[in-house]
Amino acid sequence: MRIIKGIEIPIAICISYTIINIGGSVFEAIVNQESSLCTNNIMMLLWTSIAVFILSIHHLFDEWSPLAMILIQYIIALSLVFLTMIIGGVFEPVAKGGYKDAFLSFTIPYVIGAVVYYIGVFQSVRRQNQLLQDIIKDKDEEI
Amino acid sequence: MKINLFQKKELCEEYADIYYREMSEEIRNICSIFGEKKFELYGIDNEEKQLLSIQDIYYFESVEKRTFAYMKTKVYQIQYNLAELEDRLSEQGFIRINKSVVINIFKIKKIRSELNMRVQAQLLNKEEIIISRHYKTGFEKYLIKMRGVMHANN
Repeated sequence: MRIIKGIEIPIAICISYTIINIGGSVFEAIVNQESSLCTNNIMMLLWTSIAVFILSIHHLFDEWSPLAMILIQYIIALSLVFLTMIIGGVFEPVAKGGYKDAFLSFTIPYVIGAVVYYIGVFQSVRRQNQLLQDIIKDKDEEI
Repeated sequence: MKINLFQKKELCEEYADIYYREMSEEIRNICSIFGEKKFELYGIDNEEKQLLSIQDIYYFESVEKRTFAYMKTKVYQIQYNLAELEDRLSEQGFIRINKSVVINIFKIKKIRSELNMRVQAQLLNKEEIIISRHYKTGFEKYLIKMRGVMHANN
């Protein structure tokens, strides 16, 4: 068996947990016809997949401003989340206030992520300016 | 190998004499380093070819498969592509900051971020060039490397 080491360990844990959890939910749904936990788990997996997919296509918006990119990604991701709910609603009715809950559950972490990214951009600009100043100072001393 | 360094300020040109018992790989490598031709960059302006001073170049830009060197006020077309320039001039402060621009970091006045989170390099001649997200990390790593080099030189 291949040795799992370093950064592969948390990745292996996440993948194993997801397979066991989703596999268990699907098994539960088939055997016991108990669908609420199963639907919830599968929905969470689907939404996580949407989030990862949206993040993975960010390079397509490289020419756009980061703010425009964040807004476009948000709109695409939220549309996909609602689409999964509409499709899921065909098999099982969406609870009252379900769309609002989904909107909040998705928007709040997204906004937090965007704020963290925003702060990261400004901090990296400050770091780069400091590095530039040091380089110019060293160059002036060299001359 | 024993190395002796002598400073003679009156010299017109630096030179090195190498004494060896037998020609070896090490000696050949040293010869190839000393024998490397200095990179010369010629620019074309109004069909006139001119040798450009590399440290006076602000940035290189690729436009429709042609490459241009931007000086303080003048622009020259040159024969190299951006990848070649980045490779050859990396030690002299040139780094790619977006798909079509290789910039001279010594001509950057400051880096600034706009409200829409776009990051720009403001040059000494007041021009502003976008640093794309794709090249942002590489740019910062390059600055860290250059700071180390400059610091070691002093």
